[in-house]
Amino acid sequence: MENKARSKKRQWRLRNWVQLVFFLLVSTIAVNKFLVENGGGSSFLSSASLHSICPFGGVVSIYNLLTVGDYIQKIHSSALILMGLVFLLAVLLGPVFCGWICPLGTFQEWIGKIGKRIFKKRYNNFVPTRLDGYMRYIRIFVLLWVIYITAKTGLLVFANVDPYYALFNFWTGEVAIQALGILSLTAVGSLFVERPWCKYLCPYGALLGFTNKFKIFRLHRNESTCISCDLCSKSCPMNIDVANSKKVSQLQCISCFECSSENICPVPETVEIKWGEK
Amino acid sequence: MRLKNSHIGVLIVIVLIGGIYIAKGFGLWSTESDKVPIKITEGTGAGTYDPFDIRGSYSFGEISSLFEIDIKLLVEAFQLGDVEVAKDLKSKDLESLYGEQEGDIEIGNESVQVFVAIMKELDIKDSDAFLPMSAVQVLLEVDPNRSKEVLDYLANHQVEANVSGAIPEVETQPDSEGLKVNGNTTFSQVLDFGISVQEIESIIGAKMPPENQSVKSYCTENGLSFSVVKEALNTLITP
Ligand code: SF4
Repeated sequence: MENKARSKKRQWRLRNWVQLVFFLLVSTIAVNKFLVENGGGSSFLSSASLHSICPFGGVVSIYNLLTVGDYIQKIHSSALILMGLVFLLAVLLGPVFCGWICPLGTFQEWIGKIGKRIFKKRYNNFVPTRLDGYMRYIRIFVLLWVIYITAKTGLLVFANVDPYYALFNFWTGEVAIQALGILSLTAVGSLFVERPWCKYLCPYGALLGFTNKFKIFRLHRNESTCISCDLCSKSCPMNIDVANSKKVSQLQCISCFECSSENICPVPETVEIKWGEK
Repeated sequence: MRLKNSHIGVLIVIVLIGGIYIAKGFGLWSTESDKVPIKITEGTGAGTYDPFDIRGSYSFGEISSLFEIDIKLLVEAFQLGDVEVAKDLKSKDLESLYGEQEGDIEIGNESVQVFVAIMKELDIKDSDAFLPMSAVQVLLEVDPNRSKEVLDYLANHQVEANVSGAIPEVETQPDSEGLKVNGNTTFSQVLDFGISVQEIESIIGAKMPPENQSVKSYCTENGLSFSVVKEALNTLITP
């Protein structure tokens, strides 16, 4: 069983390809925008600003749209539309945006692979469970702060601390020093903890996480076939105790489905994404 | 019902690509730099940009380069004053610049659409938009031999209209210290610049607007001259 599970682990899954495609797409748009602004670039490629293709921009714009009928600075209808589409996906599948699309999540996972090589089983287990539990609430406060401050000022204040924007613009000279600092901390942190930004600080992840409570398709663990090998829990980047859950509805799940029978679980039809079963 | 990885990959692609495609189809999708009208697919002008897809958010500079119309002609047609100012003015700004005309006639984005269509000798479809006399004159100066259909249209859709609102100034970038009001500045930033609520209220002659609103959008909505308000605020910042 262990061997079978290990051989599964080595594969590049469809999710990894999807992540790579979105990472390349966003990188290309960011580089092209920079080139276009400097007299080069390609007119065949989009040169939209990163803010206008980030669905979180739509979230923080809602208050402004409702009160003064305007988007906040740097945000356009594209962000609002993406917000709606990501929400639709989240209602169906949970925060798949985090697990499959978000390029900052992908970036952390890639660095995490180095951390896994260095620390082996200790990787992603450095933070004491109790402290980790408390720290996971921080992102909800970050979400409330971002919504409040954006509503109050009508400005994209979050851009000043946003590691996603910093990652794809660090060469432009337009990134605030705090954002570069947070990006660096995220990168270093990813060597020890899987997806530290997502776990503790990401406001969009906090928001999408709530859809885990009512998403239509969710992970179910079949207790009758489960062999309690714990591989599902060990593979979970968000440290969710899948092995002791009948179904996964924890706020922190990012719908990566690494734990499923199709991926890491060695027993067929044991951890599955299903619709309709309570 | 069970889902597999492949289903999820397909769902993500369908929802995102399909959603964006539909939004573009309805003309709802806009990023700052993606202002490209749809192309005419059949008949006269097939393959060229459709003037009737010009949106209110397009600036005259963008319209000029997309439709290859000299910006000076647009400025003359719609009485926009300075070319540098007009470049950043949006098509929808015409509504507030011209204000209400007699008989509920409006000079706005649709007037720009018709003007461009006639300039490019494209079908004016079933448009019913009016043009200011200045625009009609430009069209006839550029080509005195317009078709009968166009001449009839112009004869029935011209109005003696002049710009009544103040033409907004070009948005200036913040100065080196960042302490200057520009087209993006919100009232909350004005407060951060050290200007009090009372000072703002006396400049705009009204109660303090929501802090998250931009000064420019407030001025446009309330018929104030943005350049005057901006100047007054900037004078307080740097006495
Ligand atoms: S519970 Fe499963 S799907 Fe959710 S984050 Fe953990 S591994 Fe991914």
